Amino acid sequence: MRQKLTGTESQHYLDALAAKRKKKVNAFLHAVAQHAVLISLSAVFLLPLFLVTVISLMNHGQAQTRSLWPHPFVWHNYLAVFTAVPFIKWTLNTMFVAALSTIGTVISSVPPAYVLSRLQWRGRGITFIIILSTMMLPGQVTMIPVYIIFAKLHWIPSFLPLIVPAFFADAFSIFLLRQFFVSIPDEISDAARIDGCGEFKLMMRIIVPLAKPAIMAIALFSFLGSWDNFFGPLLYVVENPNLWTLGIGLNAFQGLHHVEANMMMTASVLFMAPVIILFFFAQKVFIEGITLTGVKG
Amino acid sequence: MPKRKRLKRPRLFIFLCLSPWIFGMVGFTLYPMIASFYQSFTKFNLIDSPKWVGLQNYHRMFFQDPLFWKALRNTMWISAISIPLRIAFAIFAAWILTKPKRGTNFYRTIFFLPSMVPAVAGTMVFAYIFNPAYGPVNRGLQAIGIKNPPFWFMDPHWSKWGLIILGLWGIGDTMIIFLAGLLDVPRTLYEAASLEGATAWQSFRYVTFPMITPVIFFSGVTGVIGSFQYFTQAYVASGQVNDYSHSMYFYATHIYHEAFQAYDMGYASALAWVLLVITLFFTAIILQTQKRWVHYPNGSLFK
Amino acid sequence: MGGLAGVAVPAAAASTRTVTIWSNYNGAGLDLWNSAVARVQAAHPELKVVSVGSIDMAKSLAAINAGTGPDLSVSSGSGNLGWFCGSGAWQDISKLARNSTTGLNLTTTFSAASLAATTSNHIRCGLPLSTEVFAFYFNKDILSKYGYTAPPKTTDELTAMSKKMTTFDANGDIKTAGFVPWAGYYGFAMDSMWLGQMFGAKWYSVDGKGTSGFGVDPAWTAAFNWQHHFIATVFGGGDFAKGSRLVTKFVAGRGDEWGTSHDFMTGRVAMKWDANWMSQMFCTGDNWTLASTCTSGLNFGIAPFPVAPKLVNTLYGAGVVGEPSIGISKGSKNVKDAWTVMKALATDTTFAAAYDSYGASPSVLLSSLAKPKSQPAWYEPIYSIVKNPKSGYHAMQNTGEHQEEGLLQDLMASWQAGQTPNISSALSDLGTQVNQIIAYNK
Repeated sequence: MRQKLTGTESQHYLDALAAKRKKKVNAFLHAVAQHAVLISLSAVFLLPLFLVTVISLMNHGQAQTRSLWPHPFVWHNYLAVFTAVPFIKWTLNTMFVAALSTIGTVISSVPPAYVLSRLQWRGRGITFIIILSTMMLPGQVTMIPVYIIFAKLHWIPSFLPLIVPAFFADAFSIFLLRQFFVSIPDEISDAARIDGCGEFKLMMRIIVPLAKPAIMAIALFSFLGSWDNFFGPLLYVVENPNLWTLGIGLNAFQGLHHVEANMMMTASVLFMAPVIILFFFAQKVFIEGITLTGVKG
Repeated sequence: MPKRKRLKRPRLFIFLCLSPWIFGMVGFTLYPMIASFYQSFTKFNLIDSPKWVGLQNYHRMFFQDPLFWKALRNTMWISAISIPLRIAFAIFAAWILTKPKRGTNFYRTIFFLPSMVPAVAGTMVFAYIFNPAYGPVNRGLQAIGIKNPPFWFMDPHWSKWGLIILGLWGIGDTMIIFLAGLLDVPRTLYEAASLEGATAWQSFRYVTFPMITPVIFFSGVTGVIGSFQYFTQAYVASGQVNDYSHSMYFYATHIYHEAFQAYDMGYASALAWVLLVITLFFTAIILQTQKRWVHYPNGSLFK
Repeated sequence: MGGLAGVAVPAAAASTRTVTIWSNYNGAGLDLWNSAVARVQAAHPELKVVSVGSIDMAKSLAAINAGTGPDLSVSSGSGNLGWFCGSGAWQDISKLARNSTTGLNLTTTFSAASLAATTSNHIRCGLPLSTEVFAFYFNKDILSKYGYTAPPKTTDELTAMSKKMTTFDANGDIKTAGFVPWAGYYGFAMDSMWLGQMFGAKWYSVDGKGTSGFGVDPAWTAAFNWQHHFIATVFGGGDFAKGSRLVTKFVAGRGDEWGTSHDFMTGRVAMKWDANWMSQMFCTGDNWTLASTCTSGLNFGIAPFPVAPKLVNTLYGAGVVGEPSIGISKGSKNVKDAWTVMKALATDTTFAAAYDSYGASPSVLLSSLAKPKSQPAWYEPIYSIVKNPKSGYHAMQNTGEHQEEGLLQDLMASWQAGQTPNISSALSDLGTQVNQIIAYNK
């Protein structure tokens, strides 16, 4: 039942209301400011992507003027790229290498991660530290002798140097998988062992299916890393244009006949598109994967 | 089941599981490291067998190779500037992502997207937008009143800044781990702070910042390692312009040039080993000081 | 899977008399080359001649050093002769050439410039094949618009004419340029060489000893000072820094090299140094053919390089030339047979004429049979440059893969950007550096 307020009480009530309103307005202003910053940052991040798409649709004269909107829209550029350069071959090469090295990484990194996390054994800690420290090694220190090994095997130029090492496990993938495996409760393994399950079966039938998110994460990272890889192909594949990957091809693009600035942007869009599409479908996996690595060391 | 039986079989299993890594480690890491160390004392061009020259490569590096010093200076400079900048920007971007109540996922996706763009493509796009003649960036700068905007990649004094901006554009992957770190800070700490009347800045300085020092440590170490090996963007960008003054010539560029363009493998190996020493030095510094400024909620780095 | 092994190493040539040739020719050029090889084979049934195309020089050199190389290899650019010859990868052939029965009279067979370009440090290591020619191209319409009927003969005329023909837009940026002496304007990385040619600057052997001429020949300083003056006068109204900035921007906005938006074709630049094989594009646009009457709409002419005023009588008429050449590898087991094949290939006028028609790459053979009959009249100046004894590349030294060219180009770029305060001392330092490289490579 509403009581009638006294003089001071109603004053307090009005003060309280005013304070509440002020707080609400402040909160609203805060939100506006936050969104303003977020939107401007988003615009900055998106601007280069927007620009490259827009320029990819211009004709070659216009691409070098200062206009920012195609007049006319040259959709044909997207077809022209395929005739100007062997774009399909480059794409297939890149996909081939990426797919095979991803498979290799997954197959060879899961078992070490498993034994480093689900089993107790002497030397486990040291092994893990060694694996971590190899992540800190600059690639240049091993690059030249590795190159010589491949040269002596007559594997240059070919895809083999880009694919075969993937089957020998990758420190980063082992690390990420291990962090995930560690979080699976021990009880699951114990229960299975008590039931007489062998280690291998335990790993493959029980633990691995539970670790799907982490495995997907390293598969995605491996695929992306291979798709983006420039230095590896630069060393091992550049001598044979039939083996060129997209990165090498794109870099060589400008030196090739009959290729203009606008088409370079078109080619860049086509180069980026698969991974961006992949990203949209697999966002969660990517982000969770990165999170697994960095937070608490 | 008797315990002894369970101990024996896993040993073979463990070995088998580790074997790909072990072979990879020996073949692609240990042996090459030893080989390249030996090669750093030789002169050889991949075809002739190595010829022992003692310390000649190291002597040449420090006393007769101006490009070595140029590359080293460029690498140190860009590391010193971009590592802190990247961390600061990543923290800022992550922090602002924790603020709004709605649409976080949308913004997060956009912030993360550029880091998905392959380095070669990203560099070419930036070379275009930074073009002094028709690039939109300079056009925009002129529109807001800057009469003579820099020539970016085409100006030795500005080219590295162009690379730094390109790197900041791809801050997404670093930002995400900071985002996870920020979200991990217990709300109770913030509530306690606001109860004591802390301002937003104080709350950040005394609650947030200490809690994310492990992430800063991680980013710092990976940043040092990564930036000392910086290659692709610089290589592509210098190919787009005429980088006569080697303003975008970094340590990894020098190693590549000596190994695969001048075919002086021995010298390149020496360069690689000096790089390793420098990397270890700076990593050790970070590792040593971490006890003082990194705060671990669960104890220490190595459990 | 993609290609697994490298090139198959030819079987030991000990018993059969096989001569293997590696070259960088590919596509239609390789077809022409292989026809030439077939002609040699037909004329010498006692030999087995094998040709492999699409192999670059670094690979050839590596194989030669490993002992698995070919008997003959073709180098696709003059700049590498020093490398091959100086490192001993190619043999000295002067004795073979002087032989009274199987030799070859070089001076009556090849152009003087090409003979100079196939000698390194006074050692003759190769025979020239065809050549590329760098000449001075000018836009006749633009010239006549400003009252000029002939291209400039001297560097002073070049400066004066360029100043008249350069226009600016409302923002003060360069709209059209008369001439752009600028390292990196268009590809090739040869701007510094072209600049030096105008002043007769010597790359080596001012003292006859094979040392670098950069710090020793005053013509280099003169050349660079002229460039400085040109940029300041033509573009900066006397202000070098301003001119340099404007040109940097102008070059950043250049049209695409391989196509009709090339600055020279759109009239954005009125005169430029360029290669003979660009004539095709200038003549018929994207068709890339040499026609008697050009269809691109560009009314252009070809002339020799302008030269410093005091050199007009001695140097005018020349340009820069560079040639692919062919040489015998060290360690070849059939030197005599290799010489036979090499001689035949280098003097094959059918190949020379065909390759000229196909690739617009003139022959260096003095014989008139080496010139295709169908070349248009306006292309003649290219041939006079080829025949002019003052045209040159430079006497090569072993600086690896012609490092000295890259270093000079870098210096020019630094100088034109205003980053080099004292050009004489910089050139002197460069000379010292080049000499160090030569010593290191010995």
